[in-house]
Amino acid sequence: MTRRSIAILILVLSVSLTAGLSWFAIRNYRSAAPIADDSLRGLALTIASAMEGVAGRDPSLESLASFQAREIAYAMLISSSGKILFHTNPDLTGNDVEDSRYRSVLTTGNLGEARIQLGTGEYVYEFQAPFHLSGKACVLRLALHTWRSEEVMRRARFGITLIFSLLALGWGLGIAVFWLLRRQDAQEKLLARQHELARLGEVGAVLAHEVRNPLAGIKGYGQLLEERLPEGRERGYAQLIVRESLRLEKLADDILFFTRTDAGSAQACSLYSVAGQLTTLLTPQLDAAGIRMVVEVGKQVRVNCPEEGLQRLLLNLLTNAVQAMPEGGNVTLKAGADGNVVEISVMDDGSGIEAEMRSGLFEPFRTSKARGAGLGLAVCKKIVDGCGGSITAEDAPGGGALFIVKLPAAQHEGSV
Amino acid sequence: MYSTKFTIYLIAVLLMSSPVVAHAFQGGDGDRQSGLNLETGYDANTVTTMAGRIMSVQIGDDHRNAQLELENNGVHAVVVLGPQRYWAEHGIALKAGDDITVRGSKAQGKDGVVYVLAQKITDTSINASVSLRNESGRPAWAGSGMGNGSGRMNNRPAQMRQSPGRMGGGRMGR
Repeated sequence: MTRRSIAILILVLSVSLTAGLSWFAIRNYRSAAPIADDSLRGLALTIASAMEGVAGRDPSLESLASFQAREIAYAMLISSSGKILFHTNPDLTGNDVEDSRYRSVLTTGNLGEARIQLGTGEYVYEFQAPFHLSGKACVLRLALHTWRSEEVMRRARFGITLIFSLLALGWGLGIAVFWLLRRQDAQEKLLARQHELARLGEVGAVLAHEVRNPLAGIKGYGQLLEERLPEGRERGYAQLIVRESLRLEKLADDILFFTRTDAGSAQACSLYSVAGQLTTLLTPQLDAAGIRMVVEVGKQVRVNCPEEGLQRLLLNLLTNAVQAMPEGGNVTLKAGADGNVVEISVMDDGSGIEAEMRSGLFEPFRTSKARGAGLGLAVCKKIVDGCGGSITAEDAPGGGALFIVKLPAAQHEGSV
Repeated sequence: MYSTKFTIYLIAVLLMSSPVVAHAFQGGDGDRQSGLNLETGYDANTVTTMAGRIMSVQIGDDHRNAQLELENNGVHAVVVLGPQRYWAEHGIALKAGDDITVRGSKAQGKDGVVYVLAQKITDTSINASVSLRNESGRPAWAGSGMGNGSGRMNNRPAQMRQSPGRMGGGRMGR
């Protein structure tokens, strides 16, 4: 089972557990209120029945005064004319009741239930029921304290709070652990990449000492032969030796640059000047390939990047464009400052970027070419990152590829 | 180091945002605990007279009323005496162990405690008494201009949480 499958399984289980617990908590909470109300209604009916029994035995209602129950906030017996025949506060007996809520009970003969707030601020359960007193129709009004019967509500409230708190805590911790694991994973990947680059650096050093030096000799002798041999097949071999030596030299050079750990100092350099040098350098190659190059770089455009790095960056991007147009075409190098950022774009009308190459385009050793190590764009990325900029690739509006480089702008020469 | 700090911070935030734990760390004033209007609340319907022995007296402060704990045959009640300043000026000397009789409006707070909003207190040990409210329940400290429902009998119906009754179609609130 892969790590991803395990993660999905854990996630599904967690969501199911959360849903199950939430359903249980909500159901428990919602069922608590009717239970509490049933409990109060049952208590009220019991008290009413007991009071009716007492009143039946003593129609003078004097015995009712001794009737006590802890849950009673107050009780009163109201006649059909609205007179209070009995009240747990004896001072109120004989007064007229100040509201007419008893009337509906009297006329319909049904029970009345309500939550009311007393003058003390307490919420009580008010129960009104028909009361038979010596053949006269009366209404018994009971106000009951709700604290004891609502214990079930408090427990349900505590339960739902506890469950949701624990769920929130569990999810929070889960997310934290997931975040930490991902962070650790990313750090491990970074470390592995650093190790990889360090090993590549060792290879680069070997290349520098063991390949580059003899290569210089081979190239030199090849050039010598190229000059001295008469026109013919042997001279062609010598030219081939020189060309391939140059290619190998470039490859060794790229590997050395890519694996170099020392970053060049970020000094201001003129993009206009670098673009000019590159135009001169590439003109023969461009002419031979039938490519027209357009350069639109202002004289004042300067970036904070080492000149050597900027030159290599643009050379790689332009070479890439040239290689993408074997049948000829157009390549445009543009640059413009926007506040503290200089945006450089290199656009060609070649074959564009292949879909399978898009992901990891700037990774080393990834190439779609038959001849090439796949280091050009990786080197570009390293240079741009080293200068604190960014590089992206997209499709050009008219087909082809468009590379956009953003580098920090440098102050103009002479400015403070 | 950074991740450890972050983890501790995250756990602390989660714990404190949890209502259960947060509740355990938070206090509350008297009124919030009881849910009652202890200072000016009164209801003539619930007026009763209680006799008992003082277990303790709390003189209160600027934010809490003066009150005492009364006990009678195992039944405990908190007798609310009113604002601390008023009681200090107009109250009588009460101490734990005194036998008293209290007349006042009784209520049960949402903390389960029985409160008596005292109208008149008589210390039977020293035969002294003090009236804190008039007969209709208006507090003596409220002044003549305040008529905030003291001694109210006409109680207000609140929202009932049940559906209409199944026992004879009784009215279930409004």
